[in-house]
Amino acid sequence: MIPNNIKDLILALIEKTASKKAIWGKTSRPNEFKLNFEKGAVTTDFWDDRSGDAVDFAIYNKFGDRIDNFSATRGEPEFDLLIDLHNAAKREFYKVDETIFNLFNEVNEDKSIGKREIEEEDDSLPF
Amino acid sequence: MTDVRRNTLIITGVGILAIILTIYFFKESDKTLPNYATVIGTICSLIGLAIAYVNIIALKDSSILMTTEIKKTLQKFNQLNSVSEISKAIKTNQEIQQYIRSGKIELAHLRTLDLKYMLLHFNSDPVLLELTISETYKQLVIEFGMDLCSINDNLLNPKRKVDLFKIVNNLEELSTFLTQFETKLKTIKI
Repeated sequence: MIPNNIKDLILALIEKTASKKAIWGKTSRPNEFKLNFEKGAVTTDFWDDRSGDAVDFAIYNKFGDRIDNFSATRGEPEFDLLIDLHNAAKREFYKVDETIFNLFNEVNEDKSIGKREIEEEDDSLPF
Repeated sequence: MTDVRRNTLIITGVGILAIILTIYFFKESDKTLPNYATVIGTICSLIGLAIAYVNIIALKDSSILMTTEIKKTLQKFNQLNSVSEISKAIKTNQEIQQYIRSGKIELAHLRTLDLKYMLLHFNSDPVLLELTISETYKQLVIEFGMDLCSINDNLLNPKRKVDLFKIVNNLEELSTFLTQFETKLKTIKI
């Protein structure tokens, strides 16, 4: 059960991230993202657990101690809130929106897009 | 010749001269044994007081000098102690990296706990204040804490994967930062 103040914090983080005002980084876990503060940090991770997809939200103090950790697996009531934060962090880290915006810009230009990967056959004999 | 000895000799010389001159300029009627004794006694007392004063001042100066030297020695000792603590942390860091590279995660985890203790200890060392207030160091400590949790979670639940390559990179970064500070600390003259 996530306490209300932590839920508020998560909602605030989602909003801040969605408005491009939070810079997320990557940790040593494949799907975990971190957000550094002046006196601590928060992380959000997503992994395939024994009982299905799982997501967590952890808070670290300035000494690097994990002072709080909330996790939920798919189907649990808090999963949606935690996965929303994780997805927001992931989108921010990989700059998904910016990439899509650039793709649109490129598609809407008159010039041709894409690059031919097969090299033109070379007529010269190798011997 | 020390300053104290020189001053003592000067005072004594001046005193003897004062006795001679005083007696020399006595009226004939005053040249009696009790008068000589009075003049010699008074001037000798004054010389004694002046010599005592000079010695007390010298003692005070030497006491201040001694206190300063003790403080300097203590600072040097603390500095050397801090350098040794940082060296120990760097060594432990390298050990952890070695354990991770050879797949001994349990051993790496144990040494990681030791390193965490050392890093926390740095916060209470006044010599290392410059290190512990730096933003880079603070971020490296938090990062290290996260890596420690990642290793721990991975040991408890292998489904929670961890990128050991990234952990080694983070450790290397921490080691480099500590080494730079250690070098800086070694070159500070007290």
